[in-house]
Amino acid sequence: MAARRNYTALMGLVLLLGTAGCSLVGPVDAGFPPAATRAGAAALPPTGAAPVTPTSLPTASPSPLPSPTPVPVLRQLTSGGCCVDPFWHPDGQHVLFLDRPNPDMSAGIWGVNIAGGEPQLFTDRLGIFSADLQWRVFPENGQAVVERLEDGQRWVIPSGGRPVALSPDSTQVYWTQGQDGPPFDRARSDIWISRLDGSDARAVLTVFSGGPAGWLPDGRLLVRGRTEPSQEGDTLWVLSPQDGALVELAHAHRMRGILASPGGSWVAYQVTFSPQEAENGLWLVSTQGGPAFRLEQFGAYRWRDDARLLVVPQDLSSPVHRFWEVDARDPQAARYLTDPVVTPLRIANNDWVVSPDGRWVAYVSADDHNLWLLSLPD
Amino acid sequence: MRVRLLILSVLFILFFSLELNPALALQEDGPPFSLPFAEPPGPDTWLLVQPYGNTISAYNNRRSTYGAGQGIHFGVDLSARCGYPIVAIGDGVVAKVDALEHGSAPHNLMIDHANGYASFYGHLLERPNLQVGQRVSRGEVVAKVGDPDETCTSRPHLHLEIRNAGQYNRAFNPIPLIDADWDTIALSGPSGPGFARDLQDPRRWQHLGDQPDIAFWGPLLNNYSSPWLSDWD
Repeated sequence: MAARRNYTALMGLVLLLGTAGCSLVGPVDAGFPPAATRAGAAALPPTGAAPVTPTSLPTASPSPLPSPTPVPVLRQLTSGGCCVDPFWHPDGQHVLFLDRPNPDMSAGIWGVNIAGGEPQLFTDRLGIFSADLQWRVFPENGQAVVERLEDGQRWVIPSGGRPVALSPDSTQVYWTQGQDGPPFDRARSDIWISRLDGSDARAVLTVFSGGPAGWLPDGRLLVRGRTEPSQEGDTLWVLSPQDGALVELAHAHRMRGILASPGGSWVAYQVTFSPQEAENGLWLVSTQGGPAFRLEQFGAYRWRDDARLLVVPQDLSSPVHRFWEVDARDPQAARYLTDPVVTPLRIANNDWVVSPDGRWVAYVSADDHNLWLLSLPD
Repeated sequence: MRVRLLILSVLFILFFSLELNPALALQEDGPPFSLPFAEPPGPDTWLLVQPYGNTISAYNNRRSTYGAGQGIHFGVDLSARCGYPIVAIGDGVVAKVDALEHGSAPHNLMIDHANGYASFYGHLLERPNLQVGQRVSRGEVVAKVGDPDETCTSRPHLHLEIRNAGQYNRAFNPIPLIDADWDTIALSGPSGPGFARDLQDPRRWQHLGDQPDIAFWGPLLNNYSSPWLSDWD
């Protein structure tokens, strides 16, 4: 009961602070969304036309909330049960998501200011966006298209319509082709790469039971798989596309969930159902080499920055979800960031995303299916 | 006389409503079933790999693998190593063993439950050592996890369905029917399992517990005119 009273008092303080923050900032900046897209009916501009760009968003507004306090804070961002699969605007002040709030509007990418206010239409052009929101890739007429949002210029990637992944510096793309069907542990995957305009397309590596697992910031690729279908276990490599050189980072049975840190220094991955049980769990390995090490927690994970990994442990004994943080440089100093009493959050369907500055987590609540915001302590 | 006829008519309608939709009988009782494994999820035991519903994989295979299920993944897939023991999700009676007309080769098992549902366990490693008509209890080991590709290295998992007992021509989302914390079970890896999205109604069928029941061989439920990037995920 005492804990509940403390929680109620704390939440009151949180609401007060939140209200104060909103009143200081005022309504959502009139510049968001861009006027041309606010009506939601704007069609895709023709190639070459000057579309409204994401950079017109108010990126200079000061942080609307108090600096992170020692106690994490929860705040509801949306209502009505929308907003699965959210992602962050690079300004760190808006959470974006695909939505169509009512049948009179077109579907589009909507955004909500973390300071409060109603969601606003960001753009009705859909696709997979680069992290800086300067580019998007999307399928059109059976082809993969890259578009520069600033001026609407487009290029077709010769991937045969297969999905492509933009490099962090938006100069290259990769895609795969090969065997789609079972058995999956012998399926062939040819990794292709090209410049952003589709030129210089070439196959750089063939692997089995795997494929590319993402770009590193320096233009190299993370790849999981086997060089021969009969090999045992999976290997994690760094591939240099220029010369095809492979550097092995780790090897294990059933390696999955490979995720590079934002700066490319570390890679997280999980091993499941290995015949060698000591392999099973969540692991970290440096891209500079050295032995991988297993974490004491297993669950959902995202990088907070280039060295700190957030984990939400898969713990059925707990009625709420907790955030646990480990610094890859000092794994012994791992700690819980949230307290079940203070922040009794529950995440729906592993649907959460960390802000670019690592200060916030936006998540879909399992209780009301709305977007919520969690502040993280330093 | 008219009152008696009216009462009989109501009872008749109610009886057949319950037979066709057993969920009606369970609105006040909470989830009637338990998980098909004795141990909690984890990297040594089992994990959720594909939920029931309008999954991206089902959408992409709506005209092939999942065409019979109205384009919906009509069960929940739980990965585990081959041979991992599967337990009955409720008390019941074995209705079918290796009834491959229901799919999920190489071996499967159907158990009828008194509440009108049937549980169906697919992609089993071997023929369950059970007889049709045999009673089984909740939590009793009834089968072993297998691999649809019969290699035990490709994609070993349990495909668990909940159908209407007797007719077996409808499938229901197991997630609201199984007493478990599914949002915690989904906490594994760097992303959650996504669902296909229709730009006409992007909010529809986007949550684990909010997925449509299906009637086998009915029309596709997700033949969207404007899907969003599902085949790019």
